[in-house]
Amino acid sequence: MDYEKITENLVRRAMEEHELQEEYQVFLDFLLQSLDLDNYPRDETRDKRIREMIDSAIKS
Amino acid sequence: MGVPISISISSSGRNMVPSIKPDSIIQIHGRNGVGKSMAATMLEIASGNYVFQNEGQFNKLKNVIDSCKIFININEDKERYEVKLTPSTWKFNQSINGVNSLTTGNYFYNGKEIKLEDFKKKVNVRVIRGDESLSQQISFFKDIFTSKISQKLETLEKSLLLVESYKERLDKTLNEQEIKEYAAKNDAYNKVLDKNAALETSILYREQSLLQQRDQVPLLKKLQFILEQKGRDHETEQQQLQGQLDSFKTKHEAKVKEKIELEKKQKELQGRFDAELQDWINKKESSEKKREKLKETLRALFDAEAVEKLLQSDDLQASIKYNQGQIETLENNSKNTRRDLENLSVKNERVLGINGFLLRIDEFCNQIQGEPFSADAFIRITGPGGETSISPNDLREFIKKSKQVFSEDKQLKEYENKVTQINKQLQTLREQKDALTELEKVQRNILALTQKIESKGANISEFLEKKTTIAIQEKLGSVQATIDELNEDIGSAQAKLSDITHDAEELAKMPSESVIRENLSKLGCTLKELTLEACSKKLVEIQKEIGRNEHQLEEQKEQIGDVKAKIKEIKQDMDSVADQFKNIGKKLGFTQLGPFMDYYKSHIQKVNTLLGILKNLISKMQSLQKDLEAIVAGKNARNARNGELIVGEFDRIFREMYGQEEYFKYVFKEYRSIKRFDIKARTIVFETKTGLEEMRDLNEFSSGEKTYAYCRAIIAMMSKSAEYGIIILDESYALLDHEHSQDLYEFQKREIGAGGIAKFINILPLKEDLDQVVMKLRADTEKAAKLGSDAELATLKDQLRENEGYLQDVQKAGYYQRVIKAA
Repeated sequence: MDYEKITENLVRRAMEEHELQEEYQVFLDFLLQSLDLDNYPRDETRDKRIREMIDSAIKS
Repeated sequence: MGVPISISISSSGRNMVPSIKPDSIIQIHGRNGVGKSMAATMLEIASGNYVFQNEGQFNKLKNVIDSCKIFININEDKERYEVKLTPSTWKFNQSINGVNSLTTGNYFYNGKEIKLEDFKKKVNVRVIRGDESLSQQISFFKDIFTSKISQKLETLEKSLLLVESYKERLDKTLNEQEIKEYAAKNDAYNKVLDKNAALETSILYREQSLLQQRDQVPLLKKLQFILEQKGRDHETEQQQLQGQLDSFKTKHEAKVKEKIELEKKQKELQGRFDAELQDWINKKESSEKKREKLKETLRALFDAEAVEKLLQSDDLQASIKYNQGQIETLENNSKNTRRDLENLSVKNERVLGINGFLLRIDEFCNQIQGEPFSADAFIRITGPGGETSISPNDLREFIKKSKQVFSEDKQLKEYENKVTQINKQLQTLREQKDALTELEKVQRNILALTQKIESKGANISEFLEKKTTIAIQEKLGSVQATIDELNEDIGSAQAKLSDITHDAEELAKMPSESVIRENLSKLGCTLKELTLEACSKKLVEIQKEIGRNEHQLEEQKEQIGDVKAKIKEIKQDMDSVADQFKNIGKKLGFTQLGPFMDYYKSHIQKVNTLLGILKNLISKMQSLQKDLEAIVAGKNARNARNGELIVGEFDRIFREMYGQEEYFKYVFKEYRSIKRFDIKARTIVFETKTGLEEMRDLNEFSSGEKTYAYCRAIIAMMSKSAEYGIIILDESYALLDHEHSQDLYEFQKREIGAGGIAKFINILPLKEDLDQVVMKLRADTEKAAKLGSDAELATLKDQLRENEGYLQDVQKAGYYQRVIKAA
């Protein structure tokens, strides 16, 4: 049994119940992009990357 | 039989069963402490499935195992997996109560290193322990859910922190308020630019309209003129007016001559009157000069305040009278004083004479003082009273006393001074009187002359004959009135003549009506009908329109001035921060301010949106986690939606897990199906075979039933979870009766046959006395060799051989393995 999958299913359904499915997806997209963030030094380059991540996660 | 999978374990620190046979279903019977369960635990850890009770248990295990290598050979060495567990590097993963998968160890496939995830896809080991049950399974699910949600919460909070700190840095660079202010200014700037453009367009349009309208006016006027002139005979009108004009001029000329004669006569009379008047004026001027001189004199004689009062007084006679009174009083004073002075003078002369005599006697006495006879000589004095003798010294003393008596009278000097002073006052008063008298005389003269001059008009009749004067005056007035009337008539006639001439000339120069109308039409002006009234009406309309347009144009030009000033003001305001914003924009790769501001504004909104999303998700996730714990603890969820969802999810999982046919055969025998699973009450609602609903608490089932159900559930859960699923049932049979045990083995056989699970390892305690078993089998074999059949003997020999092997294994390693034939 894939507990990860079961839990994910529970969380997703909870977010749907609260009409937050789109917001949850935004978070997952943002999270996915932030995986490589540790590769960036803590300077403007990193902020540039965060800026790109936010621009990508939140559509106008 | 499925694919053969043999397992060998090499470890130090704790005993572990070193090898497991390749057969699909194996029983391991062993003594306590030989390492059956430990081997199972290591295999489960290697698969990443082992869940520790707590971190303490994790640390305990980590510290007692020095090393552990697991070799799994599949299908006679065709696939070789090797796992090198490294307990010394293990890290505890709190979210799953397990080993952090990155620290578990090294994995190899046919000698080549692979990842745990890849290993798990191929080989997945799960241990079902005898002490696990349905209740524990619920707790297990709850823990899994809670830890997984915690993981998500942790990730969410990390993301929130990341975005918040990013927002703080953004705000330091260019905050939201500054953006809003700049955007507001920009909006205001665009609005005034729009207004300016609208005004410019309107002004241009209005100016063009005005040009057209102004061009229409002269054309309309021309048309109006032409329409006005229609039906007039200019020539006849000119001739008539010329005749009238000539007549007026002739009359005018005669009247002018008459006027000149009258004026000449009047002037002659006027000249005489003027000579007399001039003489009076000259005299009056002379008197006025004299009056000024007298005033100056008076100012020298009186104090300033008194003289001004005097000059302002109308009644100088009273002043003169008062002055005369003062003079008389002073003269009387002077007279008395002089008399007193004369008396005193007489008296004083006598005193002076006595004193002179006494002085001479004193001088005599002084002369004789040095003579020899002076000491006892006597001077004989003869007087009216007789004769007496006196010594010189006594005489001198007498004289000295007499001088004091006959001293000059002091009053004499004072009287002299008084007289002098009175004389001076008298002189002043007399001068004042003279000046006032003269002034009064001059004033009177001036008054008389003024009255004469002023009464000139009245007096002119004294020089002229009254009738003549009146006649000339009246005549002159009448003539002048006639001249004036004629002048007006001439002017009017000339103007009319000029107008007619002008009209005639203008009419001759005018274009035709049709040409004018065509030109008007080109300018956008049409007349409904060609009448003077229509034309005049149109002209008034156009002129009013021009007036309105000019007024509005003026207002708009004022407005555009204000708007341009506002544009300048806002631009200056924006420029003051624009450079700073541009520099920030450059760093972000923008060359122009506008696009940068648009982007930045939008980006900040996105940051805020993301922050809002993360906070909201955290809140909802925390609520979900709390409600999950509450429900598993038998309480109500705070959020009803969460509550329904959690209850539904557990219902779904458990119905799926326990809804299989075998459960109804061996555990839920009296029921037809599970209707629902109530996590809060920890009860299962069944449908009975008669179609009724019946509720049963999990605890109401027997321990064996619960264990059986749990084992079946886990096996079902593991089925086809990996290419080679391995399930270890660690002393799960202790609570199972024979029937359930046999069914479980049957179930294992079916799973092997279906390919869902590759290998079952059943761990059992070593309960039988193998020595006794072997001894009995030997006895039975010997007996069968003598009395029994060959078949019976063969079976007994096999059993003996098998058990002797088990005995040897137990004696050697403490356990033995029995193969259960899968098919």
